[in-house]
Amino acid sequence: MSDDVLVAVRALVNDLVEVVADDAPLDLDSLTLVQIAEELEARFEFVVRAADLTPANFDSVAAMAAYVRAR
Amino acid sequence: MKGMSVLRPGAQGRPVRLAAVAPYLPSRVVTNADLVAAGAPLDADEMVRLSGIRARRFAAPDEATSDLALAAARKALTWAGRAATDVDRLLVATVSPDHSSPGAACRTQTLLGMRTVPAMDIVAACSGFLYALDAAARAVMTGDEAVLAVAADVRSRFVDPLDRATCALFGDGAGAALVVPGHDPDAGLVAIGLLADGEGYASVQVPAGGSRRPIDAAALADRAQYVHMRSGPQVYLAAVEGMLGTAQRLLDALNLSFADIDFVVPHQPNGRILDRLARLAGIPDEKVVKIIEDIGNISAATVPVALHHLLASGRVKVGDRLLLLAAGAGYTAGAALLVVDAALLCAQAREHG
Repeated sequence: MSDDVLVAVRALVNDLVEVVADDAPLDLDSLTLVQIAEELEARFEFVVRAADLTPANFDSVAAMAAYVRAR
Repeated sequence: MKGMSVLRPGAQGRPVRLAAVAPYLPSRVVTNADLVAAGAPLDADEMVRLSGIRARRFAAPDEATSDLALAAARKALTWAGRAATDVDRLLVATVSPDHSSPGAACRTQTLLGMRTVPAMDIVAACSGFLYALDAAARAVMTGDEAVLAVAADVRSRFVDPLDRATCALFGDGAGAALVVPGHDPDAGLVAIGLLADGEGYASVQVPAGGSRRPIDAAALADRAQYVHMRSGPQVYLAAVEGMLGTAQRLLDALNLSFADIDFVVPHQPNGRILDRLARLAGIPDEKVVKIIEDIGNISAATVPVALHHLLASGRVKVGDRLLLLAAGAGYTAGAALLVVDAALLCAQAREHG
């Protein structure tokens, strides 16, 4: 289940920016960050809270997958 | 969002209604191409992609916030068939007063020709109109016969033309509502609720020019006299949370749902925010009043200008439920339920003689 989340998040992010490695920091501009947050919401059916939009949760594919699993 | 008390004028005492709502927009149109020509660090198409904004109005060099407030207030009084001397109180919501002291309301009061009744500014950023409306409703409930609730901002004077995050967002404008006693507890301003959450204090801020940091050479070097947005994406989500949170609490208090609302009149900081608001609330797109494309974010004035736009559209009928929503720096937020009455539509029709 957890691996499925990682694979799905990687694919979703890879459509918008190049993913070198799951734990590699992503250089996201504000529009792309919002786009990713909203695509995660649609894919995993939850709402991203403003307070959750932090580097700890969104600076890499691995961080995003961990965040999705925690929601 | 923690607890929110809901004021219900008709249910708690004296009913309150809006006698007229009027806008004023400066005549100078500034397009995205104009901003690019002035040195903006993103192109015109990027501005549209990021914000949904194509143009905005800027005040003339000799216009300040009280001038915009004055123009909107004059129209509201005319459409309501009232004289300035009838008004018992003037509230001007703004974060860009003519001077840091005194309030813009005092200049507006004297130019309008009002009596020496209370006149004061309300500082609640983009939620300012709803904060003014709440204060006006409370004044009418306790005896005032006519209160002007005005929202006016000249944000263009506080926007850094070289800041990618904010240079395209803001425009200037004003909106005014004359708030008076009603007769029907289920019509007019039926309910209003406000919130503030100071955890967001630094999120959208003009760092210099107040008592915390005067404007000196170092502040100017930091461009700290301009509005700064710390994290655009967080502010984006927080704005929707603020509007949806207050809306849900207001609707819960009234045993209503979004399905019972005919039109939503939201603050408009960014076109994408309106799309998110509609999606998360499950509101059909056509029920959300959108004016941002041609005028940008006009801060506190957005809600009354959008409300006027809706009332002038011919789409509204007596009894329609309008949900006014705002969220702004601070953070501040508010929601109000306005049930359209015949007298308001008659007053609005005077716009065209």
